This record gives sequence, C-alpha cells and structure tokens, in this order.
Amino acid sequence: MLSSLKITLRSRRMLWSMYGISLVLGLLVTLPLYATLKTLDDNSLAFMNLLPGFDYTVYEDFMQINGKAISPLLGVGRWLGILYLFLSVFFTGGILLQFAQSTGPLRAGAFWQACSHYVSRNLRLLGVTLLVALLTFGIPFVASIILAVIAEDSFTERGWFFIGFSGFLIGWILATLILCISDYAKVILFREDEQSAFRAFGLAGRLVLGNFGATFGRYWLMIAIGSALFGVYFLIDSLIGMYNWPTIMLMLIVQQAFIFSRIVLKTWNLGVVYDVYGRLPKPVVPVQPFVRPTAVEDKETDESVSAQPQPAIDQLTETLDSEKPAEAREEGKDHPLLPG
Amino acid sequence: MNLHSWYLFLCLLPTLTFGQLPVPKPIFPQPLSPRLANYQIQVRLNTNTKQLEGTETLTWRNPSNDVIRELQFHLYLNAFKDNKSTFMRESGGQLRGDFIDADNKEAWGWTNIKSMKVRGGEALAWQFIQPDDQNYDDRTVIRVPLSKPIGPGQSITLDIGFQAKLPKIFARTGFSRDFFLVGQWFPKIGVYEPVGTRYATKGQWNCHQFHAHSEFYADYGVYDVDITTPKQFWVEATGLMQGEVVHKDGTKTLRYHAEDVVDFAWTASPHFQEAVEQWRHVKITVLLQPEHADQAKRHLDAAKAALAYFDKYLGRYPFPNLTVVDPPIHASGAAGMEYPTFITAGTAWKIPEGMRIPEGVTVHEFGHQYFMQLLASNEFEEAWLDEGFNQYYQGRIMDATYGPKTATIDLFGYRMGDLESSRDGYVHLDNPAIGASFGNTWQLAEGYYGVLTYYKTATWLQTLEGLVSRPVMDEIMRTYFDRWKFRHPNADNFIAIVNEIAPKRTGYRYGSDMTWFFDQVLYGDKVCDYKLAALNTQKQGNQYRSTIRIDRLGDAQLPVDLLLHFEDGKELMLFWDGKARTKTFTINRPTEAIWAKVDPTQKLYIDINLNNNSLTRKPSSAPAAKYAARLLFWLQNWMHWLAWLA
Repeated sequence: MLSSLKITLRSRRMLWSMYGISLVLGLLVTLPLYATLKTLDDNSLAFMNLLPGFDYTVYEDFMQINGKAISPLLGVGRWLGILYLFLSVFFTGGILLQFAQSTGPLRAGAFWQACSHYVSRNLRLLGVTLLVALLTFGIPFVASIILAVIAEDSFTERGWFFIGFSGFLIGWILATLILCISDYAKVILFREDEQSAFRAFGLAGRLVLGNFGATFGRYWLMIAIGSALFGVYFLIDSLIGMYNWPTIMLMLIVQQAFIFSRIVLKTWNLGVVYDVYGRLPKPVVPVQPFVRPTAVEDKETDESVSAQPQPAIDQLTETLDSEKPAEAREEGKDHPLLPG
Repeated sequence: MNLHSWYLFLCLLPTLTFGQLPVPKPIFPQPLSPRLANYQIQVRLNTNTKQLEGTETLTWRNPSNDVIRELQFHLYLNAFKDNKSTFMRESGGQLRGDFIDADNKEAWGWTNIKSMKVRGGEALAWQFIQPDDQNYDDRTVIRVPLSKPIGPGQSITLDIGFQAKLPKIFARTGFSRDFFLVGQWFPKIGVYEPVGTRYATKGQWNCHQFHAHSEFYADYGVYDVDITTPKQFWVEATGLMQGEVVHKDGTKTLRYHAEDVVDFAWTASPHFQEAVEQWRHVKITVLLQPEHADQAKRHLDAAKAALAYFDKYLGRYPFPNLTVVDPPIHASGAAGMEYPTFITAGTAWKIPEGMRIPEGVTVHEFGHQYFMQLLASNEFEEAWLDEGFNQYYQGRIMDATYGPKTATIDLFGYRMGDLESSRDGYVHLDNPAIGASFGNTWQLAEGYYGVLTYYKTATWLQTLEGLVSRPVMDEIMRTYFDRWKFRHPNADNFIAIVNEIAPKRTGYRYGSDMTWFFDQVLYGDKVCDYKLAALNTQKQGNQYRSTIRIDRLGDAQLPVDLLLHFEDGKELMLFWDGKARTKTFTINRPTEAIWAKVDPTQKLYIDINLNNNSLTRKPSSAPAAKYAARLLFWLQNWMHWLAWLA
C-alpha cells in the first residue's frame, strides 16, 4: 500500500489536474453565488450575524425573498456532480496507466490517451456498477422497511429503528462491496484488455470474494482513512471557525487541502487495487469445452489472429516503453499491456 | 405484641390497607374557583373491548340570575362515531398528521348515555342538538330539558349512567395496543354564561360541537373519580391519588381527587417507567416509555424550568402535583396534550440532546396549566388566548433556558431558537395576510388554524412586548393572571388590561390606548414590513448632511425607532410613527453616517423581513465569502462522493 501511496504522491501533475478540474467546476457555481449574495444582501448589516455562526432568522428571511435566485445555482451544482462523475470515469484509464508505469511520471499526452482509450469500457462498467449497487443497496433497505411496516404492531420505535437501520447498513455494506468489486473490474478491463464490463465485473467479484481480507479489507481501510480525514476537518473547523476574513481564508485553505486529500485517497485506492490485483492469483474463467478444429481451420484461425490490428494502448505503451530506462522496463513487465 | 397478635395483624393488613377507598382529603383549605360543576365518577376500563362503563354524579350550580330550564352536555367521544360527525367532516379523519384507521371497526369510538335522572326526582330525556353547523349527524352535544327549573344560585344533582368505546388514538384520546389515554370521556356539562360573561348579552349556554381544530371550554369543579382497570396497569390521572383497592377478579380501583379544575383525564398502561422529582411544593411525576427512560431528566428539567419561569413572571402554580405522560410512538396522536395537572409530552428513542423536542413539548403543555386551566378561556371561540399566549411563553422559557438562538435545535451548527421558529411559522407564509388570529376555530382560514392561533399570536405578543418593554409586558400578564385566574377571560378583558397599564408605563408614547395595535394584529390581517431604503451622506462645509429614507412596504402601521451610527462612534436614535408610506430624515453632523437601522432592537418582531431593516455604507463581503467557501467545499465533496462510483 505504501508503494502505491508513493506512486500516487509522485504523480503531482495528475493530482493537481484532477484537483484543478474539481476546483474549476466548483467555482462555476460558487463565484456566481458569491456575486449573487453580494448583490442580494443590499448592504444590510443583518448578514454580519452570519459570521459568528448560523442565524436562522437571517437565513430564513433571506431565503424567503431570494430563494428563487439561489436555487438554480444549487441545481447547477447537482449537475456538476454528475459531470465530475463522468470525468472521473474518463480519468480512470490514465490513473491506471500511471500505476502500470510505476517508475516515473507519465507524459501528459500518454495520460490523456489512456484516459480516452479506456473511457468507453469504463462507462459501461459504471452502468453495471450502478445497476448492481442500486439493487444490493435497495433490496435489503426496502425489505427492511416492508418488514417494519408488516411488523408495525409488534415493535416499538427502537425495534423499527433497528430493522430499518439493519437494512440500511446491510445495503450500504453490500454497496461498498460492489464498489470495491468495480475497482477490481476496472483493473481487469485495463490489465487483461477485457472488453466486456459484465465479464470483468464477474471476474472481479470472484477475485474479491475469494480474497476478502486483502481486497475488501483494504477498501474499508480507505473508507476509514477518509472518515478520519473528515473528523480532522470538523475538528479544525470547530477550532478555527469562519468568523472574519483571516479565519475564512484559513479555513478555505484547510477545506481545499481536504479536497486535495480526497483526490489523493481516491487515486491511492486505485493504485492499491492495481497492486493487489497483481499479487493475487488471477480469477479462473470458466471456459467452454474446446473442440479441436481441423488443420485447415487452424491455419485460418492463426492467420486471422495475426491479422488483428494491435490495440491502441499497446502501441501507446510500446512508445512509452521505448522511452523508458531499462530497469523501468523490467518493473513494468508484469503488466501485459506494457511490453516485457 | 405476641406472635398470635402479629399473625392476626398481618392477616388483616391487606384488608385494612387495600380493602377500602379512603374519603378524599381536601387539597385546598378554601376553594380557589367557583366550583360550579362537580363530578363523582366510577369508571371501569375493559382493556379487551376498549370500553368504559361508568356512573357519574354531577352537581351543578346555576351561576346566574336566570332560571335555567335546560342543561347542555358535551358527548365528545361521539366525534369518532362515524365519518358524518362534524369533527370527521372537518378533519377528514386526521389530526396533526395522524389518521384514523377508517376500515378498522375497532378504531372508532362513541359514547352513550344509558340513563339520566335528577337525584331523588325525575328521569330525564335528552336530545341531540347542533348549535354550530346544523349537521344533524353530529352527536357531540345534547340538551336536557328540565321539568323543574333551577333558580339563581340553586344546584341540581344528576345521576348519569354512561358507556363509551374509546377510539384508536389519532386525535388525543383513545387506545393504542395496551396504552390508554382517556380524555374527553365522560358526559360533561357545558358552560352557562350569565349576562356579562365574555360576550354574553343575555344568559346562554356555551356548548359547542366538537370541531376538528377546537379544544374545550368548561367550568371549574371538584372531581372524585374511581378508576378500575386490570391490576397490572399503571394508572395516573388529574389530581391526587387517594388510595387503591385490589379486587379478587384481577382488577384494581384507584381513587383520584382534584379540586378547582376544568377537566379530568387519565392514562393506563402496563409499561410505564416512573421518574419523580420535587420542585418546591410540586411533585413532578414523569411516566416514560421504557425505551425513553434515559430522557427522564430532560423532561423533569424542562418541567422545572417552566414551573420556575411561570412562578417568577406570571403567578403561582397552586396544585401540589404535575404528571407528565410520555405516550409510545404508536400512540403519538396522544402526545402534546394538556389536561389539569396532567400533560402528555412526546419524544423519540435516542433523540439527540440538540433536538429539544421533549423539552419544547413539556414546556408548552405545562404552560396550558396557566392558559386553559388557571385562565379558562373559551378554546372553541378564542384559541389564540390559550395556544397563542402559551406559544409566546414557551418561546420565552425555551429561549431563556436553552439559549435564544439554540432553544429548539442546536445540531451540527444548525441552530434555531423557539421564538424565532414561531415567527418563521407566520411571517414566511406565502401570504401572511391570510387571516386574523381572532375567531371561532372552525371558521378561521382553512388550513391556517395552527399558524394563526399559535405562531401569529406568539409573534404579535412578542411585538407588543417589544413596544412596551419586557417589565411592562410582565406587569400586564401578571395583572391579567391575578384578575382572571379561575375565571373565563376573553379578548376584551386582556385588551382592557393592556390599555390600563401600557399607556401609563410608556409615557403615552403610543397614545392613550393600544387598541390600534390589536385592530391590526389580532382582529386584522395587516402585514408589517419596514425597509431602510436609502442612506446617503453629502459633505456641506464642515458638516455632513445625512439623509435616511424608510419605506413602509406592508399595510400595518406600527411605530418604529431609527438608529444612526456616525463615523466618530456616536449614535442617534430617532422615532417615527410608521404611518406614512415613506419617511425621510435629514441629519447634519460633523461626521458622516456610516450605518442606520430601522427598529434596531427588533421590537417589531412581526416584521416579515428583518434583513431589510439596515443599511451600511461600508459593507463587508465576509459573510458572502464564508458561505461561498462553504458551498464550494461541500460541492467539491459532493463531486468526490459521486467519483467513488467511477
């Protein structure tokens, strides 16, 4: 895990790019919001009451009059989240290539090329992941609600809570398992040049369930680290607050540092998955019984195979490899898409 | 004492201790109220059929100089008889979000009078009447003609046999599983208002049908009630328990005695957990659901805070006890209700300390011991007099006890005070001019009963306090309490006291009376909104000429202060009667005006937009930057949460 972290932290340009994109997207909403708030406050002193902390009356009076001006901006924010989701899908190929070529920073061109090469299969995988995650989260959660309604007369609120919460918890744990499987599926799509998202997901599922601690355990460690970072943020927020310009600027830096740490964590997680996948025995793919073809057919098949055009990523990685020093080429040998 | 004597004593002990119910002990040496309607009731609860079987002896005294030829009674439980009652028609079978399970026959309730006769005299007949809406299917009021009239000051004693079926709880009273909250359960005589009482221009019965949004109105009296339930049930009720008898059939009878109260309610459940504390002369008992046992202190502290506050600022709570019942969540329709010396609160399992729902409900329902029980206004016709006044005091107590900006919610940086939440409920209506607070509850603007009686009244009372000051407001309220306790006050009585005290204490700043205020906020639907529209400064020689313009955006006309702050730190307070559509002040000073505030101390709490009350010539961008930064942070987090899917 530490080696993955080192590689992650070495990929400064990639991390800053992703951070920059999230910042720019965020600013698309917050800069107009800032301007709107400045315009709508009408130079009133009331808004100074918002500096020491939240003021319900100031907020509600403001929203009663100006809610219609603020809501569209928040709506844009919701859509930007969706956009960033697709950008993250796009980045996946590039991030994985960074871990495949672990010895030094990627050239920007190679990074973007990898991103675009894998984006369609990663998008299909996103669809599969969302579908399965929705089902695995939704089924236990809805089942628990139905159970609570059916058993309404038998329980008190504590019972209802535990039934509902159990369903939510089971659904949530299962959903995180699906997300963990999805990460391994991304690596399979990348390393094994697998084209089918469903098939990659299935293979990854077998791998994760067969190596539960090494895979899902590490995934939960990442969740724990993320939660701890949130704890640290809230602690700092409670200590510093946002009471005046200096503390606002200080907290802005803290907030952005936290966001950057989330990007590092997300990237690191993918690196860990890549690394763990390389160490674990590959999942066995059930195959159809092989019927030996005739000699003529054999020859034709061989020809057809050799006639296949080389995948773009192979060409890309070969190019990269030729630019790498010898020891780097050795390290990259375990990746099938990097020439040995 | 030898061994045989001990044995005999031990054998007789159960008989001596539990064999008979004691004669009730008086609570007060002198009656505190007129005690016009006095009840002796024996009631048996069948926990299987959810039925009550009762006998009632009513002794009623004619308080007027009239000759009374008929009596009128409430049969409240008939509101739940079928979907044709006025209550059901008005409510659509729901109250405060709880619905009747209409398809379940068990869910309905009713009451029947089996017999009624004058003690030592004739049997009486009765007839259902509908004094409010002529809905002939409504069976909640009866008239009982008397062949022998009751003369002025004379009393009549009636023996009444009755039977009742409790509804499944959705509107205050009834059963839910093995929890029983028994309210509005016995045939209850209406109020005969002699001429001069409230709005009566001649002697008349005031006995309204049970409406969806009405509560109750009754005369004071003494109640002696024997309640029989299965012995495993924990029973608590209005008044003081006098004794208990356990019967061989697995039941027990508890005797309760209450004096100078307007109603009697009780509860029974096998699951209560009790917490008791003493506050001065008051024994506070909290009956909690087992899973809420850890919230006993929260309820007790809230009750004690309310007792202490009312005692200090309004008047003494005269009763020796207070019972707070915590209904289970499946009986939440019984939560948040008030009866004399007996209230229901309402909470949820593991509710965070920062969500002060049990505290707020406890304080509110205790407040009704004053505004309903000690000041027995007519809740049918003037609900604002109990609910609105009580909401105002709830805000004061909660804000004083738990913080003015944190009293209701203080969780994860989200904070809300109690008075400001009341104000929010009214001023942020889409149309705050929707109606007046005054009026029969069933005739208020549809859907706005709660807002107009609770929130609007609390907000204009806070505004009245702002105008006359807190000490003068307290003097008004204490006078109102002292003058009208154990009586039936109305709006005129309260306004008369305001007009008696406020002008003198405020130096006639607002005129010789405050009727103009009540015309707008109580009887009217005027909306208040003052805006500081402009603040300009021009240098003229050695002086700065500052002009300040205030606009009145609403149709309410209320006097306002204007505070000006100058660059040298000096301040100037100006006054405007608030009547014109706009007002411009021009001030010449050696330094320029930096900021100005109209209504700087927020006296006009009823102003629907307090943010437009000020202007500064040196605005700060810091608040906008703070919230933009926070939004940026959470927006980025939102993006990164979604990114984990990718």
